[in-house]
Amino acid sequence: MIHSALILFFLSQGAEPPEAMTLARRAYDAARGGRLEAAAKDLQEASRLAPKNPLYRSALGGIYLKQNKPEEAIAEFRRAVALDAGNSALRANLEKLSLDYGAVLAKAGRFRSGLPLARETAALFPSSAPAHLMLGLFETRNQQNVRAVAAYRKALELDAESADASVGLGIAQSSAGMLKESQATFEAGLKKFPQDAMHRQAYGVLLVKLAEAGAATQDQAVNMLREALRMDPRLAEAHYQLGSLALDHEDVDEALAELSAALGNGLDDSRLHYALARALRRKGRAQEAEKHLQLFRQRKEAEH
Amino acid sequence: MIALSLAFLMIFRDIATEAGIRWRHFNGMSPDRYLVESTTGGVAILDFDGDGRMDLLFVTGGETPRGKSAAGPVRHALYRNLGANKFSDVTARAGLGATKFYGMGAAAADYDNDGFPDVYVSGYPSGALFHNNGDGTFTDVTAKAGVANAGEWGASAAWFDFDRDGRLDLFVANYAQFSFEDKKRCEFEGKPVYCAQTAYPGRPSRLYRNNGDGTFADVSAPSGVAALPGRALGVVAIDYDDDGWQDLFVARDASPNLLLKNKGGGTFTDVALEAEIAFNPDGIARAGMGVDAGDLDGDARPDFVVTNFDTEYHALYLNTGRLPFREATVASRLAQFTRPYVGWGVRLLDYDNDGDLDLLIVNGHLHEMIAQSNRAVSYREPPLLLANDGKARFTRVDAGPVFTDAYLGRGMATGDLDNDGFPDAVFISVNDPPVVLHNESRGANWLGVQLRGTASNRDAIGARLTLREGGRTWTRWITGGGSFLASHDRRVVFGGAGEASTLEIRWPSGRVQNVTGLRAGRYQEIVEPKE
Repeated sequence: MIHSALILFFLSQGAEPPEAMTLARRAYDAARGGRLEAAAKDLQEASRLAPKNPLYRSALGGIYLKQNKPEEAIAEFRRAVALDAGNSALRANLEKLSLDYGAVLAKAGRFRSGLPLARETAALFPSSAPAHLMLGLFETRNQQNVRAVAAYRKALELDAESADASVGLGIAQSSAGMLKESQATFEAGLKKFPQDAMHRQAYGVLLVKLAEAGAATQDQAVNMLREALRMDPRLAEAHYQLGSLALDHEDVDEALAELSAALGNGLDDSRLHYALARALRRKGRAQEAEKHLQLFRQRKEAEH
Repeated sequence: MIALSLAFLMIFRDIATEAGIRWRHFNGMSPDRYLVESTTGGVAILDFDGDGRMDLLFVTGGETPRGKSAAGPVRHALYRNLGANKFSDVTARAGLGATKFYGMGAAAADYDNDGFPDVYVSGYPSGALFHNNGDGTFTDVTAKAGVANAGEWGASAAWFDFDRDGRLDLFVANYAQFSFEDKKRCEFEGKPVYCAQTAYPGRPSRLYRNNGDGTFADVSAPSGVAALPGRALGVVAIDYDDDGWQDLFVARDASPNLLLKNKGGGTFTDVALEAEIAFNPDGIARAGMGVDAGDLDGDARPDFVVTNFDTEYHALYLNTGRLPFREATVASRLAQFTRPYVGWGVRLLDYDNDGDLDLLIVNGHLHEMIAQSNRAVSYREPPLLLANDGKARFTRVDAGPVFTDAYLGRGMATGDLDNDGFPDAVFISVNDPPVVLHNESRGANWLGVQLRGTASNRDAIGARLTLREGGRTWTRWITGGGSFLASHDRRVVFGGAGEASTLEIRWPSGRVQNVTGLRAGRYQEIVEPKE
């Protein structure tokens, strides 16, 4: 990335202060030699001397990226885009980098620190469905539920074929207390994405909540979750939900089967270990229950 | 004609204004949004002058560094019941108006067995114990008693006799590490809001043993209580496993609830995890605020109801006679009725005297802008009256205009203010006048008793009462604490009971007494026999 930016720069005929150009050349050599700290320092100075040149900024962003400083990299690319808004390659680069970094933050559970990034990315790329999808996720996880609904709506408007946007919208509406709208979104999603097991799983989870509040039946929830599992038996959340419901009804064998399936399909959070401990205790399997209680505590600590 | 019909249907009516109550709660809310402001507001129903009529004590919050009162000094208030639903402000003479700390709640009980209820007021950064002198005045005996709870943010408190020595001990539910100097800033849409409770590390609660000479010993460490830090808000004392020793259920806010089993010998062990009351079924510690206990499903075992945050549901734990408890939050329809509400005060009471304990719950959110985040939730919220079918399945009752209006409910106490056998209730709404709910119900049979301990503590806290008539059985307990920041009338009313009843009392001392010849439609005092 840095190389292409610098090559572009050397091909340009801009009237830059010669010191800036010298520094940029030196940065190029330093970067090629793996001396990233020196390269960054030279490019910072070059940017100061030639503040209107976007290529120094993007080159500096590239260096930061190599140094595993994604936040600084994004900031530099943003400055570059601000200086050269028509540069589609630069914009695409920034969009991809922001989305990738957003995914990293989401995976690490850093939803609060990721929210400003998501908001800025959506603002900078108003026609990007993935940017609004990311915004919806971060708004939801920051309890900004009504804003999340708007973000997912926009994502779905920009990409009507996005099953993720449809599921996200349904979940956000439910979190925002818009239960009827949420149900309508899921019902529409079932028709539009008839083969999408995730839709059924997410709708099943909503129906569990609605059933608790008396707005649906537990049978509806169970049927939806089972339908999801018929399409994709590896859906761990659906197994967890079915196991949890079975445990509520003291159907311990069924609960253990479903909860074990959830574990076998990759679910490994505090909820699951707590439910497994409860189920195993009911079966008199005290040692295994204790093991899952320990795991519950460990996961809880990590999630905190 | 319409008004007449509505009046006929009304179950609870707010009589605060006509009763002459002018006091108003104050929490010192300012742009700093100190979390302490969001949890204050206590009330006690007690007969402080021993005239047979229940009086009212209101506990205010206080001023904060930038939240000053424009309406004169902030004060607590004691109202004497004059009868005929009229009350007189006797705060000044009683000496209960001011405390040197930010107020939270109250717990009233006769800790020195002299026949007059004393008052513990909780708060931040300390609490205070007021001894009732028996002449309408109180004396602050905190320093001598050694129950200041210094440095802590005390919330609900419970009087109970954990060591069965006939003297009431004191448990103070402590909330979190807090300081007015430590400003935590949180915003929503650029406006200040209360930071989440998890920003404030939980503190251990305190247990004070009554030495019987006007002093108390802090036994938090040897009892095991000090080893369980967490954000405690509500507490109820009851013998959940019927072994004769008073246990504690402690409701905690985003900390696991506690079920402190009294092992005898002055120690407690937390069995909340085995009881499955520590977390919700997903292993998440709910935001427990208030808690109350009683038999909701007619099996003569105490069940527990805990009020929680919106979308968490207020929880019902049914006692099956062994651990775990059975969580019946969904099956009882509590989930359905409480989903949008942040609950605080909660009481199990038989509002219509049909013999089943019903639920009265007050609600109110913390965040003024919550509707911008969740359209199904509002800042001010209505109280709930939920009628029990006798098997712990509830129906929401339209009990009058208060129940369609909206409040910032916090502490709530119950008691029979007019001695008509039907329970009344009083609750605090933040920065509002209190709501005094007069129960307008009539007609059903009832039988009331007031216990007086001799070997046991005089208030008989910890007694179990079993009334039998024909094939019907009522089981009740005189509990310590209960609800949120509140203290209650400890007389026991058996709704629907007639004069052919026989009453078995297991006193806190362990003595068992059988009583016959009780009269319906009135309260009668029963004194613990000497032998």
